[in-house]
Amino acid sequence: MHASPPSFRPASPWWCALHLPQLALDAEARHRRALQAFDDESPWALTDGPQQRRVHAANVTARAQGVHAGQAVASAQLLCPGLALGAHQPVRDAALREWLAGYAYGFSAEVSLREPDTVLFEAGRSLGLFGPWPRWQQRLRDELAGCGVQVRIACAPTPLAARGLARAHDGLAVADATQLQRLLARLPLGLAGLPDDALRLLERSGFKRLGDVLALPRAALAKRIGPAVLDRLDRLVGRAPDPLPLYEPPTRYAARLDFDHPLADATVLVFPLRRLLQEFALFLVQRDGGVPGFRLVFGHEDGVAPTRLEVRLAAPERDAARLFELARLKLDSARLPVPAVSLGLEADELPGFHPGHRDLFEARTREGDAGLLDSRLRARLGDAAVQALAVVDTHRPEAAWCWVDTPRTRLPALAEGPRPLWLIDPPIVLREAVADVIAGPERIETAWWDEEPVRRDYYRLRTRGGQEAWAFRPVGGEAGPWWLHGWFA
Amino acid sequence: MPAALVSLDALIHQRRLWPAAGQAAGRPGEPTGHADLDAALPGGGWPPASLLELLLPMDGVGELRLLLPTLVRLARQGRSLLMVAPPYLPYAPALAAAGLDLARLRVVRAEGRDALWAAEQGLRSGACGVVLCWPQAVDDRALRRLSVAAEQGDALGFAFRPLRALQQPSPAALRMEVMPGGLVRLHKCRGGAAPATPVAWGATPSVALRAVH
Repeated sequence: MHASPPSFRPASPWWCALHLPQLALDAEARHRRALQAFDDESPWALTDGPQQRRVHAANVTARAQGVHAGQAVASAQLLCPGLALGAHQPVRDAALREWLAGYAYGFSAEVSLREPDTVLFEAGRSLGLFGPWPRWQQRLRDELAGCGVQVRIACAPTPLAARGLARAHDGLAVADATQLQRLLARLPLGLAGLPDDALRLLERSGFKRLGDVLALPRAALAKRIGPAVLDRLDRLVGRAPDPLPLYEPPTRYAARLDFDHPLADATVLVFPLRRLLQEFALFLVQRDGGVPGFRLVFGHEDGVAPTRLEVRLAAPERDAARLFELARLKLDSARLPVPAVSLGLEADELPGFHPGHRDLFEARTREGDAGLLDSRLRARLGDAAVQALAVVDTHRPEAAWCWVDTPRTRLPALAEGPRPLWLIDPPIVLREAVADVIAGPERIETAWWDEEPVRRDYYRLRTRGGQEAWAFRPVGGEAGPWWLHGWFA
Repeated sequence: MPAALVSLDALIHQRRLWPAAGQAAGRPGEPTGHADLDAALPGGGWPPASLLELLLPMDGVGELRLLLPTLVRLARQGRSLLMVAPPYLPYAPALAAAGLDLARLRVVRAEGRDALWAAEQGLRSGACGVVLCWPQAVDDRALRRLSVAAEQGDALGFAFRPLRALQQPSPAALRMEVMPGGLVRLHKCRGGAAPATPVAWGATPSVALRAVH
């Protein structure tokens, strides 16, 4: 009917599986690397089971010496005397899965964490944006490798097929149903994602490939494996719909690293800080969002309340290097009451990111620079130390201004007498001798309902030294001293 | 030591030799907003991208009014203004009445090394047109850092210092004494000889500060 399509056009939906072949190892290594230099070349393994007597997962070096998952720790240590051991921490696996889902959400609104060892996302609808697929796939591999996450990637018209193919053959992209049937028929049964008992039953009956099972009469198959497993097979091959529970991105960000030993020194704390911010920045890039600020939470030993440092940015920012610079300034200027046992990073607001105008020759606009300067100053000196000024509509001079965090451009509305550029607040008695009166009096009187009503006569005076003073006497206090309220600097 | 071998620093200090600054040399000056002062300055204005020293016999002799036209103009051009550790409260109603866009101004309250750090950051950032600072007990090295930062960030760095600081040499591109009665005296200015007599910059204060409608 028609010629072959000019470009790769996959089925819709088209699912991408990011399979994590060594989730527990990656999660642990990422955690350790965040705290200090981590040696992945030496043999190490994670343990689980009663009293941590069983190997949960072993790294490449350990596996090369015969250590494998499910082995007794005692046998593993005999095979590999230098084996380093650590208890498997499922929370770290969960955190890595969650993080990977957030990453995938940057590419697709349909992301699922239903499968324990795989993150699934719908890639077909975003292919126009991030494709072509070979380039997109390379990007996924590069970025995830940079974060220390090993993935096997495959795409297929059904989520379960994508997962199965990723486990069988890294890099496979199956465009349509016909091709899928052919490949699935050859899929080793063990990779089809069937429940363990159903798998054992079928293997005992001599079935090796998925095609052998699919060739069976449906009624006979249902009798053998039960309707639930049959349904899973139907969803795998696309004979039945497979609605996935979808991942909802968090509205706030929170990540935490626990240290093995309490850390006090800022020069050591920068390592976990850098790791936390790198992940945070990648998360922000994926979400296409910048943050107006974030919080560093230093956990302490029992009984001591955590130390919280707010890092506020003048303009939403998502660049890892900038976030790190500001956080580091904050860290350097802070003093922890006691050493920290954990470091957390939290962000409550994750608004949309609007890329600033970036000229080819001017890396950042002056606006951007001003925002960055504000952030940098505030990070080291504190928010209160870096402020703008605003005019307040009142007649009482000392109340006619205020500090503001974020200033607004406003046209001056007040039409009053000359005002000094330096204010002295509260006013002090003028010590300098008065040479002459340049201007005045100007009566400044506030309404009776003003909080602190004033009634003063202001003068502009020249001191004998040549300074110009803004000074007043309370009405009725003409015999008293001059009160110096400012300098006409 | 042979008489011909005189140290460069000494010559510079005696104002017999003027060091030409890097990129900024040769560029016309930044207009001060005061015609008589512009005429007296070698480049026709403030030496651009430089550290400039204003030396005061005391506070309140017109030192901010002298700079107001420069501040207002650069703020209108979208440059930020930074005041680091001012000795008094900058009074917002007076600044606004002079036409200064307060949204462009940041005031940093800090002391000692923090204040110097903030001034240097502001100068270097490229965002600030002007940084005003009041360095306390500052040494030559710190002033040199500010001077380099001003050049890198293409900013005017005004350092307000007591008059007695004139006795120390300074890397500033301009050293100007602010005198009562709307006068300034140039003690040093990059790119030319400083006029020996005071220059009237024409401060008619009541006009300059009258509120605008």
